[in-house]
Amino acid sequence: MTWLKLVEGYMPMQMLFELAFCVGVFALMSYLLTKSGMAIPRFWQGILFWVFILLYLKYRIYPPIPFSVRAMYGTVSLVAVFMWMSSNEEDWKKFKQPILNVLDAVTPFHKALRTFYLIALPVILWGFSYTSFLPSLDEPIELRTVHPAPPASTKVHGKTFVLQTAANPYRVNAEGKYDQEYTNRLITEQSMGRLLKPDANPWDPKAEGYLKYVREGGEVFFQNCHFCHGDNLNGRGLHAFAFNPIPANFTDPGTIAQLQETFIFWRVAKGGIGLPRESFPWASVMPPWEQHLTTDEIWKVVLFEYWHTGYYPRTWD
Amino acid sequence: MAELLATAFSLSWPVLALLAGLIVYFQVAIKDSEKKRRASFKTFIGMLAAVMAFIAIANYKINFFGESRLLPVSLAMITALSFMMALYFYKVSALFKIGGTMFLVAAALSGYGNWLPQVEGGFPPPEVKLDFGSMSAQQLADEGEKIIFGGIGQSKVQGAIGKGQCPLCHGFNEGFLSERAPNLFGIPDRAKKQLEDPRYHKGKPGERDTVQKESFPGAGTAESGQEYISESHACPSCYVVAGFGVKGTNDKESPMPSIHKPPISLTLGELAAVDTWLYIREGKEAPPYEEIIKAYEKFIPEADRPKPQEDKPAAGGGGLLADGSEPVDQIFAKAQCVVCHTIPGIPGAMGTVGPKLVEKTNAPTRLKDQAYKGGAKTVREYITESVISPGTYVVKPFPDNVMPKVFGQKLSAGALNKIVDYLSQLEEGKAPPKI
Amino acid sequence: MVASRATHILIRWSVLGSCLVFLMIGTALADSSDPTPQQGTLQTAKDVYYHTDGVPIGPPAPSSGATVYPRYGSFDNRILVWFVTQQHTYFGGFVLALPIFCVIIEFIGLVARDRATAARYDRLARDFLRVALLAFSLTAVVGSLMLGLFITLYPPFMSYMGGTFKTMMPIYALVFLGESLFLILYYYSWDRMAEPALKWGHAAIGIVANGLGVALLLLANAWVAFMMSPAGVDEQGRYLGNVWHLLHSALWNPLNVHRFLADLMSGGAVVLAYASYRFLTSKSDEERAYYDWVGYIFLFVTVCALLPMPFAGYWLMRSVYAFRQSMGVTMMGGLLTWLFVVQALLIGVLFLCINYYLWQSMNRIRGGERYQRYLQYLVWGLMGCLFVWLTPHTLVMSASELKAMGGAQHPVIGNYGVMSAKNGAINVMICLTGISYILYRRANRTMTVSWVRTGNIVLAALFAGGILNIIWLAIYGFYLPASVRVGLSSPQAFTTLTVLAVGLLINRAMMRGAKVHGPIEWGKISVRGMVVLFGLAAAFTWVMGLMGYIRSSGRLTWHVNEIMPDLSPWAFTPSLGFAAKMVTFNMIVFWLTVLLLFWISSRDRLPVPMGEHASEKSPALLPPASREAQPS
Repeated sequence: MTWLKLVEGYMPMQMLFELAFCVGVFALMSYLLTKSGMAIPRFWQGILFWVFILLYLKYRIYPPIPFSVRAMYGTVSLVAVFMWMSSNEEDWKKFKQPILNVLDAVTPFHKALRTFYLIALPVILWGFSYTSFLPSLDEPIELRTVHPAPPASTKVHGKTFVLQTAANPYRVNAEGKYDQEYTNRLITEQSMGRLLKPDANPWDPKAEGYLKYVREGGEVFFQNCHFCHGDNLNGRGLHAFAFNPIPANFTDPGTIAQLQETFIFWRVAKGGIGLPRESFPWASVMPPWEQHLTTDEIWKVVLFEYWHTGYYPRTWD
Repeated sequence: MAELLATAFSLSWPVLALLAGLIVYFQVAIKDSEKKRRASFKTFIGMLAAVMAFIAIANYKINFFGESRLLPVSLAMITALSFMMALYFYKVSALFKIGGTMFLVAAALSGYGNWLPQVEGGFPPPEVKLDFGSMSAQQLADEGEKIIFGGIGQSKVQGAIGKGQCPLCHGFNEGFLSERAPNLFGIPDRAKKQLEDPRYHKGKPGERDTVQKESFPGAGTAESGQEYISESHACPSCYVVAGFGVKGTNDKESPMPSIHKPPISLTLGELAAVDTWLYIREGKEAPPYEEIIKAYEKFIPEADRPKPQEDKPAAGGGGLLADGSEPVDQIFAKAQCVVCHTIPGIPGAMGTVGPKLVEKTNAPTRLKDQAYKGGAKTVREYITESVISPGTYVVKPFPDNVMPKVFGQKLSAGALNKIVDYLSQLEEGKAPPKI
Repeated sequence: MVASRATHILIRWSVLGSCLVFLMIGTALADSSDPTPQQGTLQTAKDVYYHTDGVPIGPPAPSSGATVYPRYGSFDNRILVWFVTQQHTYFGGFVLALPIFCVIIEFIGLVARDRATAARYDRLARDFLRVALLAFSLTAVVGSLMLGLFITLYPPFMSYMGGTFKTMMPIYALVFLGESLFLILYYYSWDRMAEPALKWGHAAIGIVANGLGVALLLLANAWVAFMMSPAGVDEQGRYLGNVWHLLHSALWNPLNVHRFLADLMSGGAVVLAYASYRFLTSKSDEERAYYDWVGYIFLFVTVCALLPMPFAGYWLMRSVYAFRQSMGVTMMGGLLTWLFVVQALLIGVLFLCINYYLWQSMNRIRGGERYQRYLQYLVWGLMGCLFVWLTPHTLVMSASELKAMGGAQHPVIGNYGVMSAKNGAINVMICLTGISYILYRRANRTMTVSWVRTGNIVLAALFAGGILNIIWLAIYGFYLPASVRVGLSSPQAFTTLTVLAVGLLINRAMMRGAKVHGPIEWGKISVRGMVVLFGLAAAFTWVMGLMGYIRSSGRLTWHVNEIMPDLSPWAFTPSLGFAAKMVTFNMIVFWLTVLLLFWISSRDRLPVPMGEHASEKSPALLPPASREAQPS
């Protein structure tokens, strides 16, 4: 079902709305069937609905959700189905009836079914145990803390930057003073298509101050970073898919939008090898850019990343 | 599987014996055959359930320290058992049902907890032995800032204070009010000027009117800016900046304690770090470390110099001798195995107090020895056991109780693993493996 | 009666005996920690937290060279201590909460107008007190065991702490003794002071006992708070003589509030378990009715203790951040962050359980079946919210899944992982629970006011509007910088509160003069409803254990933060999975013991005072709306 493309930007809510829509369709169908005298038994309603949700999660959503999350959603919906089925005594009885029928072997068919289960269940259990004991050839599950606790300070080019107090020297207003409000106003408009703010064109040769630094940062970015992080800064650069995990996507609201500017500075300067222990297994090929860029260039490129994505750096609350 | 059953049986045999006894008792004591049959049947069900419960418990026990995703299965099994027992023992079925619910909740939650990715916190970092002498000026300055303010970058923070406690009295930033003691902004330059102050009596300590004329008899006065700073640290009362003396003494006595003495007790290295920061933060070039130390040695006699704390036995890293990150030869050296044992391939391991450690050859014969009472089954297990608990099996003719029994606590698991790896490859008459 | 006597003797002796043991160990400890060698010179030192000067009079923290940890066999010292401490905390919490409930219930009974209700409350209070006394002695025994374990397994730590807290030891012992005496007095004077005039005096004894109990909690917390955020000592850990500073460390008060509420909650949980146990084992309808009612009341009590919990937790974490940012990051964002995913799971379970219980309760109300068909939509609503609420920020996935997804962030569900979405989800869940409650209140009534239709439309519009507003704010939050986004949670919470308050008020107005189909038939609740109560109780205790592990692990490798390092082989922080196993084990032992206690205390059970009035009278704790609508 992946042919039905989801509109970018609306997907998170879309999933919930689609689920709600399906619930409505289910309710309507069960109502209509009951009306026409072909009511689906309670038991099968529950099972059907649960299977539907599992299938929806597995095949509808693209890109595919990892198993861990699907398992959790599956469990939640199983509990929900149970609550639905047992919310009153009558429904609960109707729900239990088919199960009890099999257990009591009320008809020859049920008896056959019971015998089948008697054989099948141990086999299934055995199979489950067997497969879970098989040595797995998969890479171990990698848990990376995406935003590890940063150090209190970091030393770049012999100068110590305290992450909590350092500020981007190029995030300045027209008077040359550090000013987050001012620079935020010049950042590209964040909406479906990103728009340049009027009078805020860094490529204007006459641009001075903040906008000039953004351009210089952009130059650094396109000379060094875009090969991996992509020319849209979305982590889909030329080399991106050679790496595992792929480079960070700055347009994602979960990356730089969540972080302080000094954090980004620290990450750029120290690269993958500078990650602390929590970020084990340090699976990052990001080079420590302090070996290639000056401190000023790093600050400028950070400035550019925020300007281009339209996010504001997080401030110390 | 066999291990599981064995553990389960070792745990459950008293219960099983009791239940078996009950069956016998019922056979004898109950006359009514119908009742007898029922009682025996129930006891039998009880035995069955007990066996399964103990298998589950054994599984929990065996895997308690390991990572096993099947662990909650134990709990799920007990849950099922509880509900099953509730069917048969209807008098206490409520108890079993409630118990079953509890085990179900436990299984779900602990299963979830075990299913989530696992992170383990490490051991305390080894105590850092600061070697001030080999630091760059910037590093030294950072250490100095830590001593004065408690952390790098804290010099801008109001109220920040470190081990040196300087900011209690001194101001450090330009223009800051500093009532109790001089503001130390610009001190590198000012120090030289102070030497020329007539009240300083440069070169003529005897003419001073302060309560203490010299740092110690024969110390003399400062000749350079750095020496002035050093003297001020070591002997604050030798020269008191006008207006900052103890009230009522007319600037003859300083309220400042000698920094190298208790309670502050900075070492010369730390003092040098502090001084370096004073220069570096103003963008000035600090005198080299050796020069600063020399300046202090001029004013602090040998006997008064506080000893750096690192003279204590190396107890860093949580008291570990080796944390496993070192190459194996260093582990042997750090744990001092080499003193007593001969270990092929390890430089300096020529000891003869203990046996030669060619364990691929030795261990199998030792394990077969009648006198061997330990629990090891393999070469690796034998080596591990011998390191952690040397008394379990003592190789003849070496005496018991010579080898320390603390290695289990003093070596990390990683270090132990490396030792065992290496030793288990050593074979008599063959070349040792590469390190 | 024989069994009853036996229980009484058991209670009396075990309480007194454990007091003695405890006192002996306390004094032994105070003696064993010999005073510091007094130096000739009196030098002052600086308080690490308050920065005041003081003369050190306590021992310094043992240096790293001097710390030796004895080992006994292959035992893991930490696990032994963990186990015993956790049991002590569980029982302590339960023992703290039960007498408080007793006094409150006794008080309600005292002011109740009709005698049957009063007698019922009185009986209930007394019932609990007996369980509380049994548990009290057990707590004391476990407590002394805990002290003994600390002394044998962690001697350097214990002698340091003992030396530092030396002045507090006798106070602690005295308060403990006082509490036990007052509790015993409270219990044994129950019948003797049954006269209305004396009854107030009797309640006063209970209040004194509870005051002492809370004082005990505060004193015990002082140790824990000191270990996390030491104060009152100098850099070497020497006590500077100011008791207040030693007590009042940075985290003491937040911990006090947090623990007090948690103890109330766990006490409520145990009572829930008790109710469901007695409900399931009862043989008569009266008993079932009675314990059904108890479960209902205490679900409310537990939820009430739970409501301020997020704020207490927020205060605690804020204080941790203020004390040491690194400790805060370790707990909330670093090493221990996954534990909060488990906590989120509990909150989900909690909402499901409460809703489910309300729906099950509708089965015992005649007329409730009319609303059954709406419940399924609530289920799906809750399910959708839980999808969002439970999605972790960092997804667990294999390498192939990562490749397939094209990045660590999922474009759809990745958005559920952040705070903004979760705030929306939890607020919607609260609103849905509000709807559940409104349905429950309407279950046995048909409204007769003329504006029913309008009222229903207004209600529906109110809830729909509120939920839409919450969802809109949640989506809007994605387009704001973090510092502004934090501020969004208050309009969301405000919306929720308004919707709930206005909705309940409208509903109440609509039910004025409504036709009542029948009374609440206590005891008719389904077994599932009662079992859910127990499941909730079990889940509470489990998460309590886990959160305790988080708090304790925040110190990482310190016994006393930044003063005395933990140099034992067990200094590392265990993984979540291991903690889960350990907590599970602790919780199982706790509940098995509690079930045993229930069993013992129900051996000599007293007749249940539900009587023939029971099925007619609504409990006094119900909101007044229900009472005025009752047929009299």
